Amino acid sequence: MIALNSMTFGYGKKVLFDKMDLNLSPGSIYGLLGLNGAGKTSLLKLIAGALLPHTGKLEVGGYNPVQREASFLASVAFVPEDPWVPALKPETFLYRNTPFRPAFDRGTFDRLFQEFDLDKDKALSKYSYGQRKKFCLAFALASGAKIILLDEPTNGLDIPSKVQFRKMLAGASTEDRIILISTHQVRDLENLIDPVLIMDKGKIPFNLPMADLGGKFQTAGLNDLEVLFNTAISNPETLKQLLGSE
Amino acid sequence: MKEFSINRIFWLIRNRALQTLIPLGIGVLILLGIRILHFIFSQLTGAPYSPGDSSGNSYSWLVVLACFLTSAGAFKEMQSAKSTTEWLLLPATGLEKYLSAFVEMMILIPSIAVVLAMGFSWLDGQFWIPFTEDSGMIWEKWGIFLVTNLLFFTGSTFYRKLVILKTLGTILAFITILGLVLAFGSKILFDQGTFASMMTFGDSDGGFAWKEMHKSWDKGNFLLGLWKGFYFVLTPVFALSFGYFRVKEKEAHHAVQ
Repeated sequence: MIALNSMTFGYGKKVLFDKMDLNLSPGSIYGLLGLNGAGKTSLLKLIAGALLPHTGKLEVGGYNPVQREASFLASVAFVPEDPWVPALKPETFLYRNTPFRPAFDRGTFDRLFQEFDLDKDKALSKYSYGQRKKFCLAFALASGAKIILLDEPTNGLDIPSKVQFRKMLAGASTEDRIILISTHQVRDLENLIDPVLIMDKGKIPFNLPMADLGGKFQTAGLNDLEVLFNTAISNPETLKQLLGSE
Repeated sequence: MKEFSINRIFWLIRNRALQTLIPLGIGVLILLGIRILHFIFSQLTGAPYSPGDSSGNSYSWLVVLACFLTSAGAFKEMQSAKSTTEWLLLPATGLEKYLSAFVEMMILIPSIAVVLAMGFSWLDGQFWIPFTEDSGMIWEKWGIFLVTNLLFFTGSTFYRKLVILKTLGTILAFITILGLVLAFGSKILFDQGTFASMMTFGDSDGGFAWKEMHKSWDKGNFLLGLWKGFYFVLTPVFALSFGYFRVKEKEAHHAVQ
């Protein structure tokens, strides 16, 4: 469970989130959509505990991320858009990092590592952007974390890797897990994310189940995630009217 | 999962030590290379081969410099814009991360540096042993070294780049301000504006020292005691608390996306 209650956050004098509320339940793969600068990455970092809210309440899996307790950090896996990796070979990386994650599943990691066709003899820092990303995704999905936060996960992945990633993600989604994905590449994940969160002007005005796309949104011509997103940003009133017509 | 775990501290120290091994090894190889070149040069030119110095100061400085340099980089990963997020989100508490860095920089590295310095001195046939008058590193100087090392360690929780220079600048600015305040204070309290003149920085032994003036003067001794209390008690307490809270409240780098 992720619950944000009247959370305020900003950089310097610029307020990014003003009294933001949000509730996410386990068992879903949430898609977080928003324009550049809307604060998607900041929101993921706040949930992960890498940024600290100014005011309001933030609860993630029963923990307060501000405290950064070890058990909380072990229950969250965050893959940034451009992940940093040390100059270590994969095996050494695992040797140094897995003791901190008691639920880490080596079997799952090995399978994902193989499926992504990664090189075990090469230092991670020598990996290409896409390979680094695949390694971090494999590590996150095998970490046993109950909250998985992915920032633009398909950026930098080639087409076969995107297909593999979708497969892996579908397999990683369980009843007790929340997967939250921030993305611009809506088409890459269209059939996977549900519900869709649309972020605009420091708020999340729309939290839409994909089932709606086949219903009343379709009759309004909003049968495509990209069209829906554009409408939410450029003409939110239309969408609100549609939602209100329930 | 316990919120304070000795195991996690051990893993953190192990990871840090493994990471420090490479630069440490490079440093040792460079020093060995210099020694060998020096030896070859002396053989070729007929000049006497006399590395180090009889006072043992060069070995003390080897320890001091190695420790200050490594302590100034104690929180490099936390400070680097690229790695901050990954460092923060490693599942260990801020206290565990801070303690592991502290153990490495205040105990492990100084111990290794001392052993290496002894090794080098033995190679040079000088048999430098710390904690003796001859070694140039007697107990009070070890105390001064450890507190100064702690200041560089703390500096690395605050400054991202040029940690040594910036920390030195901060220490000097602080000492100047403190000296002035105490000088004025002593002038007002005792009608003796001599405090600042009693303190020197970088004396012939290469450390903080007190001029032997006013030793017999009670007020001078009082101020000397005050200064020692400040340096050996208040400074470490302040540095430890400040450093810990810097680590605990560190946030990922700002970039709205």
